[in-house]
Amino acid sequence: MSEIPQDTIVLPEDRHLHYDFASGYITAHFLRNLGEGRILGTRAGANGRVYVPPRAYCERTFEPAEEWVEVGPGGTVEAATIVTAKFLGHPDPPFVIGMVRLDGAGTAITNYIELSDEQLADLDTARDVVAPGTRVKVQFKQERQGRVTDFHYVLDNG
Amino acid sequence: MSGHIARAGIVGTAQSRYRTHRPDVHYAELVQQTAFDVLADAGMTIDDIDAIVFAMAPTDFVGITDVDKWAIGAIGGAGKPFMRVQLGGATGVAAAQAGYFHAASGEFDNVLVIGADKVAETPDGQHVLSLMFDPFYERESGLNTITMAALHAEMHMRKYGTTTEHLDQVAIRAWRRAQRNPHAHLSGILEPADLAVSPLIATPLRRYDVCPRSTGAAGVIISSERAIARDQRDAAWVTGVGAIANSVFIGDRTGADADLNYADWGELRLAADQAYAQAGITDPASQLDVVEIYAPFTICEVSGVEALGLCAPGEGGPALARGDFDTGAAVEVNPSGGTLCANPIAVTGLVRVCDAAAQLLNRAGDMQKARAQRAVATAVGGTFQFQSVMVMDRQPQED
Repeated sequence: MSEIPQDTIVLPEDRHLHYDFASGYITAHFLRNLGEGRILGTRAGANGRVYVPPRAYCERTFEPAEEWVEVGPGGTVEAATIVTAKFLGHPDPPFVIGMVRLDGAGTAITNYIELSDEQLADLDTARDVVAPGTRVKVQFKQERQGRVTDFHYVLDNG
Repeated sequence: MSGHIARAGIVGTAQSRYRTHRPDVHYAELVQQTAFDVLADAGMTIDDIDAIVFAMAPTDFVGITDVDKWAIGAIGGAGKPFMRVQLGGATGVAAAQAGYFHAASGEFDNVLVIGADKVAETPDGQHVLSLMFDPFYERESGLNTITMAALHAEMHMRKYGTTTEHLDQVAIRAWRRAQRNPHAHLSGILEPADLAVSPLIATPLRRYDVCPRSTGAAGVIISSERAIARDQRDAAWVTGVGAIANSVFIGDRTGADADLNYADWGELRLAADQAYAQAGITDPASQLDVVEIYAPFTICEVSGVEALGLCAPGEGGPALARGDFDTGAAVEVNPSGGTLCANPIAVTGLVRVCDAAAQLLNRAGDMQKARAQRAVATAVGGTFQFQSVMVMDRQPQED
C-alpha cells in the first residue's frame, strides 16, 4: 500500500429531497386555528395538564386529552437566549428565542421574542429584559399561513 | 431496579485520533483500523468475536444512509450476528449497554461494540442537526443543538447563580487535561482573556463553551464472566447500567406540572440512580474515582456533576471552577478533556466508556489515575432527552 500515491479523490454531491409532511388531525386543527389567530392546547382528563403543542393523549397517564382549550395570549418566559451567530435557516443575528409558557398552558412552546434594536444593543441588558419570569404576549402576523411562524412573542408592557 | 446485575466486563478498548476530517480513509476503513486496534488491546483475533453491536447515530453527516452496513465486511462482521444501536448522542453508551446485555445474558462470550463518525463529509452540519426537530412545531422556532443548550444554561444560571467565569474554567481545565490525551481533537492552554474575546454564539455560550465536531472511531470488547475466567483476562466489570428517555419537547420540562425541570439534568440523575443502585454506590463522591461525562457544552459538565451526585445542585459551577474534580482530585471528572475536546457524535458515548474502562484496566497512559477502582461513563442525546449511564469496577461484585 505504501507504493500507491498518498493523495485522495473527493466526490461532490448535492441533494434535494422534497417532503410533504402529513400533519395528522390534531396538528392540523392546531395549525388551522393558528391561522385564525388562536393558540390551542389539549387538556388531559386525569391531571388537567394542558399540552401545547397539543397531544391526543396525556403522555403521563395515557388517557385521552380530548378537550381543546385556548391558551395565551399572555405568557411567561421560562428561558430565553439571544442568538448572535448566523445559522443556516435561521434569521440574521442577533435575535431572541424563548421558551414561553402561555397562560393556561402546562407546557412551554419555543418561538422568537421580538426586541428592539436598542434593547439588543447591549446583550447583558437584553438578557435581563427577557429573563425567566418576564411577561410576554403573542403577536400574530397579519398574513398567516397556518404555520408556527404565524406568531412570535413581544414584551408585555402592561 | 436494584441489586446486582449479571457479570460481564470490558476487556479491550481502542480509539482513533480525533480531528475534523480524515480524507485518508473512507468510512469503512476508518472503523476497520479501530477494529484492529481493539482486538490487539484485548489480545484477540476476529475469530474470537461472537457478535457485533455497531454504534451509529444519524447518518446524514456521513451522507450514506445507514452506513453501518458498509462497514460490516471491513470489521469482520461477515458470518456473525450484527445490530446497530442509534440513540442520538447517547448512542455510544446505549451500544455499550447492548453489548453488555449480549455478554451478560450468556448468549455470547465476546462482543465487539464499535462505530465511527465522519462528520466533515458535509459543510452543512448545523443543518443536519436542525433536522432532528419536527417540521410542524419546532423546526422553525429557532431551536438547534446550540440554542437548546443555551436555554438550559440560561435556566441553570438563573436558578443557581452559575456564572460565565465558572463556564470559562470548565473549558480552560478541559483543554489543559486534554493535553495528556493522545486522541483529543482540541487541547492546549487557554487563558481567560482568550475566552473573553471569543465569539458569542447564543447567550451565555461562546465558542469555547461548545464542543467541536470530530471524525473518528472507537470500540470496546465486552466479554461474559465465563469467557473472562476461561481466558484469564483483565476486565473493567460492568456493575451498573441505567438509561432514561424523556419527551422531545423541552417546553414539557418546565412549569409546575413537569416531572423534571430543564434547568437540571434530572434524566441523568434518574439514570444514575438506577446504575448506582445496581453497583452498590450510595456515596458517589467517595466511591467513584473517574467519571467521564458526555458534556458537549461547558454547562453540561456543571449539570452533569450535580446530576451524578458528585456535589449538591448549584454547586457544580463553583466546584469545577475550583478544580475540585481536576487531575489529582478524589474523583477526576473527564481526565480525557471530555467531549469539549472531541465529539465524534455517533461514538462520543463509546469514547466515554473507553476512557473510563481504560482507567480501570490501567491502560490510560498519561491520563491514568493511580489505583482507580470505580468509574462511570455517561452519554446524552436528542434534546438532552436521553441519558445513559454505565458504572464499571476493577473487581466483579461479590455474590
